[in-house]
Amino acid sequence: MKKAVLRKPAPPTLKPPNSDVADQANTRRSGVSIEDSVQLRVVSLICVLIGVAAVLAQGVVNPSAGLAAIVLIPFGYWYSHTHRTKRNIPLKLVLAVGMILSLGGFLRSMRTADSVDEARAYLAELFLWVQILHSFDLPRRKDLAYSMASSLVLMAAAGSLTITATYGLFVIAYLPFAAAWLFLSNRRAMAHRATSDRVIADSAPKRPRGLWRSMATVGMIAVVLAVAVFAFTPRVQGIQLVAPPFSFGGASAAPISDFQGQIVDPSAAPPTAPGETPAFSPDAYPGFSDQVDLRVRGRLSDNLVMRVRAARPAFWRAGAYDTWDGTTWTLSTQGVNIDVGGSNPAGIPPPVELERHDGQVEQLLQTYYIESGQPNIVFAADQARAVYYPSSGLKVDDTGSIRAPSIMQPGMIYSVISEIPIIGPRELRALPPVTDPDLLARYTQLPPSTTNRVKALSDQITLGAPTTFDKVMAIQDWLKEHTEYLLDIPPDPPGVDAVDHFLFETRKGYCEHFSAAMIVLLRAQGIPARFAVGFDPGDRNIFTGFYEVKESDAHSWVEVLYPGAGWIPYDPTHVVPLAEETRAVNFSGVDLLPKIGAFFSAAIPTGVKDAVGTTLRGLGHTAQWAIANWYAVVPLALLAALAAWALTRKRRERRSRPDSRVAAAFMSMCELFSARGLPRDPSRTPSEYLADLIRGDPIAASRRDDLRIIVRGFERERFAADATPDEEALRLVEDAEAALRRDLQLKAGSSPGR
Amino acid sequence: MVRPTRRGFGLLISAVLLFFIGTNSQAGWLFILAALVAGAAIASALLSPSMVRGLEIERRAPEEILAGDDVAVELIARNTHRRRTLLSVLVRDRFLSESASFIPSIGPGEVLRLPSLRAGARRGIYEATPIVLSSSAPFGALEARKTIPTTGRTIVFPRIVPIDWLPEIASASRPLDAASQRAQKGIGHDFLGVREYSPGDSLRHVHWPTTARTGKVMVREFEQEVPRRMGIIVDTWGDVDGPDESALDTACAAAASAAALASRDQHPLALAATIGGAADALGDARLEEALTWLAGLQPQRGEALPSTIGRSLGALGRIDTLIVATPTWGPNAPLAQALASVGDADVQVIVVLIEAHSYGKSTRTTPQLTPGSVDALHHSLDAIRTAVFRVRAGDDLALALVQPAAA
Repeated sequence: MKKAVLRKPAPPTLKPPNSDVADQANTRRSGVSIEDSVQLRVVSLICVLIGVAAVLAQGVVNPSAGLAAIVLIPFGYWYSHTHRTKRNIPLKLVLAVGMILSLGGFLRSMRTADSVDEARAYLAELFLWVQILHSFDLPRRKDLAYSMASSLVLMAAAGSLTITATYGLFVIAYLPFAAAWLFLSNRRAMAHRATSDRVIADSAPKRPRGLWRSMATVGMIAVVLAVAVFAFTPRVQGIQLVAPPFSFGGASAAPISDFQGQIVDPSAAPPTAPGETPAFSPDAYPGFSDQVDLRVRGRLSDNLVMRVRAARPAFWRAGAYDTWDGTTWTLSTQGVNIDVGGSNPAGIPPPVELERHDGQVEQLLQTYYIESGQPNIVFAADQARAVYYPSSGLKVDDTGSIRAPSIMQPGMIYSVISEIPIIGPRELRALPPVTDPDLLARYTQLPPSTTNRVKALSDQITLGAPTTFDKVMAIQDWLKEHTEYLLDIPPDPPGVDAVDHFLFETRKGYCEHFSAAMIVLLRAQGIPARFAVGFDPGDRNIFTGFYEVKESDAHSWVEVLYPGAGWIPYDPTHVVPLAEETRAVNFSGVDLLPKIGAFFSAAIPTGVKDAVGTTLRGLGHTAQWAIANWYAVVPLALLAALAAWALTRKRRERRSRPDSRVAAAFMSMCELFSARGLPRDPSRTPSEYLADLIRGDPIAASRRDDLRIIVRGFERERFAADATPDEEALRLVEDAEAALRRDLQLKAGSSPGR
Repeated sequence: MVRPTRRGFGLLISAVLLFFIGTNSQAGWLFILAALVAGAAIASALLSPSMVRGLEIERRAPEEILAGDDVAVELIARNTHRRRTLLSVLVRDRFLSESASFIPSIGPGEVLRLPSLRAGARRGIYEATPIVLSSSAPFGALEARKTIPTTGRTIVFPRIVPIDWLPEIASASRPLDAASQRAQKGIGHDFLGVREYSPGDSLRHVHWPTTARTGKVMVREFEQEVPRRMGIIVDTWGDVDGPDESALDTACAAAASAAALASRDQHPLALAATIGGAADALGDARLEEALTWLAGLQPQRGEALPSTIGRSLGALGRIDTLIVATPTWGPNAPLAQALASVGDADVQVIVVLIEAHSYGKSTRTTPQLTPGSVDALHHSLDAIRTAVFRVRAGDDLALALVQPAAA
C-alpha cells in the first residue's frame, strides 16, 4: 500500500491551553456553573460603569448614589470573583435587605414626584442601587448576563433622559465592550459544552492576523446592519401611556405682572416712536409680539431656542394676525383671551364651528425643552388641544395662540397634544367657499393701499381655477415661479404698500413678504386667509430625535380657511403643502440618508464633485443620444453583450485550466469520475468529494489510497503553509492518477453501484 | 442547518422593547440602541453559518481495539478558506463515545489536531458516524450546524482475560493442554513401534538394536499428534446491561478468552451462535477472525439456546471440547437435558453461566432465571459431569474461570 506522505509534516506546536475548557474542573459547585473568566468579568464591569456614567451625565440622580456606584460596583465585582465558589448566604441576605431598602427609598421618593417624567430620575437611581447590590453576587455567567442586561437598561434610561448628542460618546464607548461581551460569553458557553480541551496546531495559518481581521469584519458588518435597521426604523406616534413631561427644570418661574394675555418678550428690541420702523434684535423675532411690521430688516441669530421632541415635523405655531394695513399685520381682537384652567393638562377650547375640522385628525404629542429665554408664548403645532405646563393661568386667544403667565426660561419643559387635520386635495376641492359674512369681513379685509394691479394680478393668476383650493395652489405656484427668496433686501421706500412693492418692484423678499403677498392675493379673490407666525420645524438630530430650533427658524406662513376643514396652513416660502400630509409612516432613513449625503458632499473635494458632475452630465447626454438613435444602439449593444459573454467564457475556461501538476491530477480525477456519473458539486470540498466517491463508487473504494494521495496532495498544495510540493511528492500524485486512470479504463463500462 | 438560540430571541426582544419605549418616549437614542442590538443579532445570524462552512474534519481512529480500553481518537480540522478565519466551532463526534472538542479559532489554511481519549469502548463493530460541527459565533444569536460524513470503522474486540488453562479439563481424562492420542502413524513424540525401513525415512529414526537383531534396517515409528478441536457456542438469545458491560458482552469475553487460550495452544477452533433462527458458525478460525466474529454478535430474539444447541453443534462439526457461554435466561432451564447427549458423545463440555439477574432486572421480553433456578441448573449440569463456571456482574472474569463453581 502506498503511503500518502507527500511532505514531512511541520513539527506540531501546542496551542496555548484552551482555558475556556480547562477552567471547567473548577466551575461547578453543587450543580451551579461558576464563571472563572476574569476577562468576561472585566468586560462586563466596564459596560456597567459606562452605563452608570451615562446616567450620571444626565444630572438627574443623586450625586451620592452616583459616587457609591462608581466606587462600590468595581469592589463588588472583585468580591464576586474572589468569592465565586462560596455560597455567601449571609451576603445574599444582606443584599436582599439592601434591595428592599432601595425599593422603599424609591417608593418614598415617588410620593414627592410631581409627574411621571420626574419619576424616571428616581427609577434611574433605583437601577443604580440594584446594580450596586447585584455586583456583589455574580458567581455565574448567567449573573453576568443579567448584569449586562442591567447595563443596557442604564444606557436606555440615560438615552431617554438625554436631549443632546453628547450621549453618543457613551454609546461609542459602550458598543465595543458590549460586542466583546457577546462574543466572549458565547465562546465560553460553547467551550463549556466541549469535553476535550486539547488543540494542536499542525500548520500555521496563512494569515497570522486573520483573527483580528475577522473580528474587525464582524464588527463592521454588525454596525452596517445596525445602520440599515436604524434607517428602516419606523417613526410613528407612540401610545401615550403616561403624562408627558412638564417642569420648570430647575429654572425659577418669572411671572408677568398684571398678566392679561399680553405677549412679553424680554429679548425684543426697545419700542420706537410711533410711525417709525421698529428696531430689530437678532435674538427676538419681531413677529412674536402684537404686530408684524414688514419694514423691519435684519438677520436672526443661529442661537438654539428650543428642542422639540415629536414624532413628525410641524410648524411650532405662536399665533396669527388678521388685519393688514399695507405694512403691518395686527390682530383685531387684542385682549380676547380665555383662561384655560389651572390643572394639567389645560384643555384648549376648540375653534368655532366653521373653523373646526370635522374630519380625520392625527394626534401629535410635542415636548418643548427651552434652551434660551423666550417670550411667554406657548408654541404648539396647530391645533393644540391640551397643554401640560408647570404652572396654571394659561390664556388662549381666538386664533389659537396660547400665552403663559411667565417668561419662558432655559430648562423649562412643557408638552402639547395637537390634532393635525388629515385632508387631501380631493376633499379640499369638494368644500364650498366661505359665505359667513363675519368671517369674510374679518379675514378678507384689505387696506385702501392695496392697488388695482395687485387685484388684477390676483384675477389673472386664478383665472380658470374653479375652487378655493385650486386658487390657493395657483397663487402659491405663481409666487414660487416669479419671486425669489432673499434675506438681505433694502428697506421699502416710505409710503409704499409692501405687497405691491414686493409683487411689482422687487419680487425679492423673505417669508413675511411671501406670506403677506399670498394672503392679499387670496383676499382679493374673497378667500379668507390669515398671517401665521412661529418656528419652522428646525433640523432633526438623527441621534436624539429632537428637532433643534434656532432663532433663525422663526417663520411666517399662510392659513386658509375651508369651512368644515378649519384653517389649513400653506407655506409659499418653501412650498410645503402641509394640507396634503398624510398618515404615512416616517422612517429614520428619511433623515439619515440626506445627512450621509451631506457628510460626503462636505467631505469630497470640489474638484472631485465637479468631475463626478461632469461625468454624470456626460452620461445623461449619452443616454439621451442613445434613446434618440435606438435603432443603431440596440444592435451595437447586443453585439457588445455577445462579445463580453464570449470573453468571459474564455477567461473562465482559462481560469479553470489547472495551474500545476497536482491540480492537473486532481482535475483529471474529477473528470474521470464525472464521466462515471459522479461529478463534483462545486460546493463540495475535495475531501467531501473524496468521501462521496468512496461511498458511491466501488472502483473509488478499491482505489481509495490513490484517491487520497491525489486529494491530500491537492489540498496540501492549495492550503498548507509551505505549499510547493517536491519532485517525489509530485511523482507520487501523478503515479496515483495514472494508476487510477488505467484501472478506470480497464473497467470502463462498469457503473458505480449503489 | 440553523437554529435560533435563546440569546437570539433575547436580543430581538430587547431591540423591540427599546423600539417600543423609544416610540412612546420619542427618545431618538433608544432607536439607535434598538438598531444596534438588532444589528448584532442579525449579524450573528448571518455569520454563524459561514463559521462551519469550509471546515473539513477527518477522523483518525485505530481499526481494532479491545473492549474497555481507552481509545485515542484524533480529529484533524482544516480550514480550506484562503482568507477567512473561523471562530468558535464545536466539533461533536459520537464515534465510540460522545466527545466534543472546541476550536476557539482556526486561521485560513490552518490545520489543527484535536486529540481525545474515548474511555471504555464497548464490544462491537463501530461504523464511522458523521461528525457534527456547530457554531454560534460571533454573538450567539443563532447556532449553525453542519454534518460531515466520515469513512472507516473500528472493531472493538471482546475483552480477553488471561487464562492459562481450564482446570476442569486438566483434571479430566484427556487434558486440553495435551494432544489427543490416536493410533495413527505419523511424526510425533510418543513411540508407537518399529517397522522395516522404507525410502524417505530419516536415518535418525533407525532403531539399531532391532536392525542388529533382525538383520534388516528397521526404523522407529511414532504416534501422530492430533490436536483437540474446541467448539464455542455463545448464547445470543437476549442481553441485559450491567454496571460495566452487558451479559452478552461478558459471554463474549469468556468465549474470547477461551479462544485466545486455544490459539495459544494451537487447538483448532470453531464458534457458533444462533442468528435469525439459523446457526451461524465460524470454522477453523484464526484468533483475529474469532474476535471479529464475537465483536459483531448482537442479541437475537427467537429460539432459546436449548432448542438450538443441536443446530449449533452441527454447524461446529467434529469437536472434542465444547464451551457454552450463556447468560441465565429463563428458557435456558432445560439446558442440561440438551447437553446430555453431547456429553454422551465423548465431548468434554464446559458451561460458563453468566448470572443475568446480577446484571439487571428480569423483563417480560428477556425473563431471567432466579438465583434458585440458576443453582438448580448448575446441579443438573453437574449431574451430567459438565464443568460449570459461574460469573456475576462485576466479577473478575479471570478469577471466575480459574476453578469450576461448586454446585
